[in-house]
Amino acid sequence: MITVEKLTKYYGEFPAVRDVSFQVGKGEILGFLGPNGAGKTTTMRILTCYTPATSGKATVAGFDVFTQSLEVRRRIGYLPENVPLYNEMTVRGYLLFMAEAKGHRGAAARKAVEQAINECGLAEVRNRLIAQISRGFRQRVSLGQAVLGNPDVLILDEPTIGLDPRQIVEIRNLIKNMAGKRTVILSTHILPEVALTCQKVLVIHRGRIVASGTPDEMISNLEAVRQTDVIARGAPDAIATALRSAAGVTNVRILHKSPVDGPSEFLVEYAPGKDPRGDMARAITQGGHALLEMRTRGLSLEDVFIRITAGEEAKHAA
Amino acid sequence: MLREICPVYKREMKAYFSSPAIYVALGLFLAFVGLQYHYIIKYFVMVSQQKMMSQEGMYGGMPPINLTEIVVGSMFGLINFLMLLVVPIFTMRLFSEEKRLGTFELLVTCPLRDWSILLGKYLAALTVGLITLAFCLVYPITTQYISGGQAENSVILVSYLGLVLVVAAYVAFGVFASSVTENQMLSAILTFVGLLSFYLVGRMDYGKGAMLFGKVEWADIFSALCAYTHSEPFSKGMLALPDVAFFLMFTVFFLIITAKILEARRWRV
Ligand SMILES: Nc1ncnc2c1ncn2[C@@H]1O[C@H](COP(=O)(O)OP(=O)(O)OP(=O)(O)O)[C@@H](O)[C@H]1O
Ligand SMILES: [Mg+2]
Repeated sequence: MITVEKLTKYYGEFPAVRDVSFQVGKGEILGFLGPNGAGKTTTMRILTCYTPATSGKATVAGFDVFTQSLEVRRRIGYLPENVPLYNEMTVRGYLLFMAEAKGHRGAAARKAVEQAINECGLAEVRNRLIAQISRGFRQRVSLGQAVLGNPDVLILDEPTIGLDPRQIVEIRNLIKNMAGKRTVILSTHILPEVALTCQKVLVIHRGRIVASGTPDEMISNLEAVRQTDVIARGAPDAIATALRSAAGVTNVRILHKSPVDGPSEFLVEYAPGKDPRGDMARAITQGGHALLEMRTRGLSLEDVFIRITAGEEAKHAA
Repeated sequence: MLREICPVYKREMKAYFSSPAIYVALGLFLAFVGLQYHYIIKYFVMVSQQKMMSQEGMYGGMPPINLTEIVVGSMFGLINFLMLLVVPIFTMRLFSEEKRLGTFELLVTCPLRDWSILLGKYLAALTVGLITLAFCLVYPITTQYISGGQAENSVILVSYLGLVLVVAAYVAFGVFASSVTENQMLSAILTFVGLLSFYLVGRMDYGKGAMLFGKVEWADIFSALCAYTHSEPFSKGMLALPDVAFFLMFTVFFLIITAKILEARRWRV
């Protein structure tokens, strides 16, 4: 649905986006992740034909964003990051204007507006002036504007910023429900959001793609070791020896030693490709000890993000 | 094209009438014009009385006084000048406000051609300008009513047509000025200063004999560019092609420049 090849954008001398390439299939939800100034908004602005790229190519539904801008714009719903709205209009008036600007007329425009009002939960503010509604509702009106007329592609720049937790969940569900029907690109700083809503993630940093894949893939690619916490009852040293005997285990540390033979805590490390947890459990019970608890420490997307960007910073400094 | 212009035009018109600026500008304008009309009529009555007395008395040789020239001519000059002040208020918002609020980004990523957006906004501002002129119709009607139709209708008609052309040109300039800045105030000032320059440029004394390429006199060039020089004949009932063409070309020129400015955003540099 969307293909981007070697996209580069300079603001004067400053490269905001460098050599970015990716593809998004129909019905996929792609998350853009990156610290401030990474180039997320710039990439989205190129895709929505607001700004031209300095070089490279991007197509939406087969149309080139540079040479077939009007065709591209007919297929896109866009939520800009600063949520621009006309304050003097009512919510419904605004949506009706946007529907007409997108080429819908008369009854079709009114129908599109009603749909957007329902979809984004705007019924209670439909006749209010935009100047008088809260930040969260402004965000929703803006989202409503983007989904007007069911565009094939939605480009949402930080769609949940400024919302309360309940609204965030609602908007995420809204976006998630679009999966399969619409192609969505969304940007965010909030990592759980990506993990929860996106099938595919792109991490951009200083204008470059530094990692991509599904959230799970990205996590497993980055992990050098896996760690599992084990709590068992018995002689601590004997348990540690038993754990070491399991195939694939590289290191065992005793975190907490119980003086009497109470519960002790261990941290077991092993290579990501192997899974010695079954062997570990067997070794403990066969040694006559009691296995009380076993839990694998997962790297969170936060860890991944911090590691990737820190790694890039280090490279940059070198 | 019309399908695209229409929503932009409608939204602009609603925006105009939901902001106090237009009512204030229109109110002040009409109050001032009304007051001036009162003085012009008073002046006319005074000179007519003098003339009448002079015919009885010793000043036999005073030139005939002309209602059309004094009242219609003065009103034309007044409205023509005041448009320099009012048009910037009508046009300052158009692009500047959208750019400041960021709605510009959303508007231009809608499937609308640049020209549709431009014409929608231009026509809305022009409509407001024409509404202002329509209010001014009160004065020729009043004049004809109180004088028993002594002013020449053809002159009134041509003056009005002239004002329409003038307003169309001024609004085009204002739209252009609002497309170059995010600041409404700056846009208004730019429009006023720019229009005032066009208004005055042909009426300054540049000294005799200053020549361009030793062939053309500067003064001639400037008077050819001067909005005042080209509008004045309308108030005398003269509808000459060069004057009409001047205002039409002025309008088209600034609309094209504005379209280029909008388009420049999409150029690869
Ligand atoms: N119009 C512009 N002129 C010059 N530089 C710009 C312009 N817009 C963005 N930049 C620069 O390009 C870089 C990328 O900006 P961009 O807005 O794409 O980042 P972002 O990833 O969206 O950041 P954020 O998370 O803060 O929204 C930034 O360093 C920014 O300063
Ligand atoms: Mg951004």
